[in-house]
Amino acid sequence: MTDDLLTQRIFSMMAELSTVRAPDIRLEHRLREDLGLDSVCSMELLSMLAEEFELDVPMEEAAQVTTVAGTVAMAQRHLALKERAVS
Amino acid sequence: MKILFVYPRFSRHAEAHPELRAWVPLNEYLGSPSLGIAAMAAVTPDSFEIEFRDDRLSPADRPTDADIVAFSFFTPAASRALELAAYFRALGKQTIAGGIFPTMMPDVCEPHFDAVVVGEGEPVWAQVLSDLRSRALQRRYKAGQSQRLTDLPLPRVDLYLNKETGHFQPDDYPVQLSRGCPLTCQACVLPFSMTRSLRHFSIDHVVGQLEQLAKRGKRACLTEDTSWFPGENVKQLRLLFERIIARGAPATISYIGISMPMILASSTSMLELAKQAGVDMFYLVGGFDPVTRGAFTGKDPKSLARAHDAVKKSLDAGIEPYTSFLLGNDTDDEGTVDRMLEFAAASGITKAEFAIFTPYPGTPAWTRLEKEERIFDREWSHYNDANCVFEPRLMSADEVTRGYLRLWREFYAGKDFSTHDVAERTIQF
Ligand code: SF4
Repeated sequence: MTDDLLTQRIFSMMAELSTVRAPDIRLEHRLREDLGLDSVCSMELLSMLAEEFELDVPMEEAAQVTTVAGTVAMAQRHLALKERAVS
Repeated sequence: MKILFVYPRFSRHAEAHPELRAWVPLNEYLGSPSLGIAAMAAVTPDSFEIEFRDDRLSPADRPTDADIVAFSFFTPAASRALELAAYFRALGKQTIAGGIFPTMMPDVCEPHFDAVVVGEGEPVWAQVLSDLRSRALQRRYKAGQSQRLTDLPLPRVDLYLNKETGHFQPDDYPVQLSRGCPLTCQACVLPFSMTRSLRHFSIDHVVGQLEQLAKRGKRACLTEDTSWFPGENVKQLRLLFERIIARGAPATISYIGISMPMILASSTSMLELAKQAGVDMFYLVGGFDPVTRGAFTGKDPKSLARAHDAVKKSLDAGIEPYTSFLLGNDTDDEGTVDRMLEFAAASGITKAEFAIFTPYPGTPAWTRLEKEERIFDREWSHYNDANCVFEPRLMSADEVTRGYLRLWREFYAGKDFSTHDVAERTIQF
């Protein structure tokens, strides 16, 4: 999956949980302050990522992420780790 | 030496508002004490004799031959605990306080007890006992780090089971899968009392906890919603369900705690597995998460739709959502009660409980409301989800209390459980 596609997919997941629509979400947005996603939402988002991309992100790591960019970077990192483990 | 463990009594919903007994057609349920005393008794060496008194069953302020009296209590029981401590100190006993309230309010407890244990008790218990023997008790004990759960023996729930009497016959007892939570929901004390480090008991330990209850004909209630978190947590839960299914034993779990976001985030296969393992009921706790905080504001149709989806998903999996509604959040106004009732009727929820938002000491909500000078009642026995102890933002405290009573009354009006096979009961009524 390209980084662009991954980012778009994460935006739509966030839009499912937030009152902000996917086209209005920006990488620099803060999860809590700008998207209204509190820590429980982050867990839900993490579950969605885990389900869709079969990612195994430790929740302690996810709980530290505070921005959209951070979430995308976290997903990229773990996808890369997964690919490396498979190859 | 002998230790008397005391679980002080506290006032529950129907005790605070006896009219609830006439309105709610469910059996009032006196559940098990929390696991604190059972956990501490389990790490107490055999050289100590142990006695346990549940002050809810009969007043604990009776003479004792114990040398030490150790209390475990949360906020609703704090006033009574201080009263009991004074009684036992007057008898010349050494007193120790532990549990959620002493952890969050050690300065309030310190003048009333000989020692206060802050945080998890097991890491410091050996030191406390050794200091007791040498009569050199310190004023305060606090563990340097979180307890490793893999090192712990099974909790001594036999102490509770042996206290069962006519009106105290719980059909379930708590079982712990984990401790701690890395999140910080505004009204939850758990990350502060049990630390933000989420640790798991081994599956063997959890199965051991279930088995020791099953041997006595009891089921287990799993209250922590953290079990549903992604990653290691839900993996552990899945393993547990698989172990239960593989044993081919009948249902041993009475209910399991969850939130709406976690139902929505869980795969259908996970919910089906839970059902297969014998989970017939969720304790669906609301008011802490963004879905239930938004759903009843009248201004957040997306959260309302998601709340409906969560209940439907639970019902579709064959798991009854016993839903706990919380009234008094800053976004709740005079229309919230109607919106909650409409939602409950439309979503098909048949059993529910209602609680008043309570800023428990040590929670982010407590700190914020203290700063905003909105807490007007510091009588700890009123901190029991049945009294409004702070100034709500969009309603008066009286309106919140009246709304809470109306929720109980109107939700249960016309409901009849008498034809059900099993005696239906509340969870914490
Ligand atoms: S309510 Fe649940 S998720 Fe939130 S802090 Fe408490 S234990 Fe953690």
